[in-house]
Amino acid sequence: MLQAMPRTSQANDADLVQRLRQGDESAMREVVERYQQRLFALIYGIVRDRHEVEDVAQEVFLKVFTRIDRFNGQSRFYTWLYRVAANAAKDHVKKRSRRPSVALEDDAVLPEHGDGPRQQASRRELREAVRRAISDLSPRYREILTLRELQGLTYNEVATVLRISIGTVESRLHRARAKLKTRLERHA
Amino acid sequence: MHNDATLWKLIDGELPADEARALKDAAATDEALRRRIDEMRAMKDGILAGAPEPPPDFANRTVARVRASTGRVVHLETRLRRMTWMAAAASIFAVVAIGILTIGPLRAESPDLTRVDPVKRRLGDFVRKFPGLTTTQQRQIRTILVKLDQKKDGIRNQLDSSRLRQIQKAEDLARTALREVLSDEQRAEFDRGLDRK
Repeated sequence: MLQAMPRTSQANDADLVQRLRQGDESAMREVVERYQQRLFALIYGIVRDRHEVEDVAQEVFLKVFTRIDRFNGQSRFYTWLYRVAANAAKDHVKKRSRRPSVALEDDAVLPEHGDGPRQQASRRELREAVRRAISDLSPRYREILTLRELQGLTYNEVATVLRISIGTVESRLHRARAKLKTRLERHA
Repeated sequence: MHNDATLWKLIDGELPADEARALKDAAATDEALRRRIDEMRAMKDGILAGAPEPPPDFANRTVARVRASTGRVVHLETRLRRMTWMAAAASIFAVVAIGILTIGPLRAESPDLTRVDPVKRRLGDFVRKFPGLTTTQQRQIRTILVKLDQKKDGIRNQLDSSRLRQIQKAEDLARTALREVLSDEQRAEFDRGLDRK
């Protein structure tokens, strides 16, 4: 399970960006190491194919490092990074939809929580059902659901990443969860 | 009864502190509410579940790829910049060449500005001599005078024979049209006027 990133480390992003602009490779490595897990989760959330995540993630980092001059610093670096990643993942889904269909589901080992055995089993089943049901949602809903869970982004931060209003975030998130719930009930 | 939107806000940490506290207090005594919140939390957990872990060498491979691509980008940018300059130079050259090729012959074909005045002067002579000339007739006379001038210039500048023939043809047409509307006396006077030059 992803751990929330300490907010203090975000303060270093400005320094990292500065070094990236100078083509500092160690800064690139630092950015990759800091964000790779979240980017994998975000991209997987939208693409829903474990085998394609790595390629898309690498494209995203490549794009970010070669276009770092386009980051104007008005938002936080990670919101810009997530936006680039979300757009790349959605583009990937679009391109894939033009190709012959491939199975989106694959077997994943789900992390377990420390409740009693019955609750743990129940939670595990629900998570597995969610994982299956979320693949049925449109990329737009998958994107907002994943972003919200990613590092616990606030509605405001999600709005910044997606360049939409907080009201739209709330309503889209609500619709996405309602659809997810409906699909879960159908699967059950 | 609490609606889903409020419960989601509680789970997302977006509910105002006092409302969140009240809801948590209610959940402590309400088994059904607590179960709903638990299910929602599990649903949240499921959203990120199954995401693959990055491979251990992912950072190294990514940086290596960036290094390789950046080199290519720089190389492409340099080539692009060079091509842009070449394209700009070619465009300027083309404009100049077109200018030389088009304006040159145009100037040769157009009546020399320094010779417009003599044409006007001679046309004025005809108009004074034949006060009843219509605008069309005046225009025809002018054409004949211009063509005569062009013919002389063409011969002097060794203009190619087909162009000279075109000028001659235009002059003949203008003369024929004029003759049809002039009296014999006028026509004789007109011919004398032209030959006088």
